[in-house]
Amino acid sequence: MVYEFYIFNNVGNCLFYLNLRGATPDKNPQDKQKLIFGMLHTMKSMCKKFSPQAVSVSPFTSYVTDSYKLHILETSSGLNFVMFTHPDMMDQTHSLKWIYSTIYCTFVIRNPFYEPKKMITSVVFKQKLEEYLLTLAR
Amino acid sequence: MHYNFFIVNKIGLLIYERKFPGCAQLDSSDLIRFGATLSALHLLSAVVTPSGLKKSGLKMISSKFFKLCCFQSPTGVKFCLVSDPNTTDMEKMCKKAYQYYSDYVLKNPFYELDQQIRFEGFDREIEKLFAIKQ
Repeated sequence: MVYEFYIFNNVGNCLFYLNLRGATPDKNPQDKQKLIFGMLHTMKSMCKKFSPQAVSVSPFTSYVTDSYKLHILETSSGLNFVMFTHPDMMDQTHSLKWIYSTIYCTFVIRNPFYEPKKMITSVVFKQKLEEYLLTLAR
Repeated sequence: MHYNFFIVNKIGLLIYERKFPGCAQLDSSDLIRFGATLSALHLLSAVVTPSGLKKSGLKMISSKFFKLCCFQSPTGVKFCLVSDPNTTDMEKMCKKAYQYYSDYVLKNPFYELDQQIRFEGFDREIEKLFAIKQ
């Protein structure tokens, strides 16, 4: 069960946000997005420190709390795909890779009207992503 | 295979650390920074909880090369274990370490709260706890 989905670029701008829970939206989502990015940035650099060998992209994949699990995929171009799910969900690196290679590449990169570093406004992308995330039951 | 074991007090200071063979090379300033960073991350992970869910701090961080389990006691002291990604039962071991902490550290009349832990008895028990599971 996926709760929320975010896409951040390497400088911290939130390019996309999707809420699948239907709960009351926050008064100021930008503040929360900045907090999320800051926290992930710290987490990624801490994980890099603990790695036995030097890596270009941080090996950090997920963390769990009592109420949610956060999965992240960082691409070599600096894009961060972040997913908040139910805490019992298994590792979702493969589904994040699928979202990047199939849904994002097809409906965002290949869209001639998409401006890089701006928010993703494509309705089709949102629709396809929502359809795919709803199929991730476990 | 375990790499490191840390105890961080409620204000973010590292009060105990233990290295096991195979761990990453970290100097003392890195370790102090780690204690503060982990406390901050624990708090932030509670703040960014999706709306409508109960706020809770992080329990486990997974990465390609290690797994970090963080058990927070009711008083805010965090017991963190860094092991290889295939380890299971990490929370149970952290809880056992919490038990030893309350037995060998808190019940020691010479121990001042929130200070560095330097007790042979505690070291011995921690060594035994993590050596058996290796």
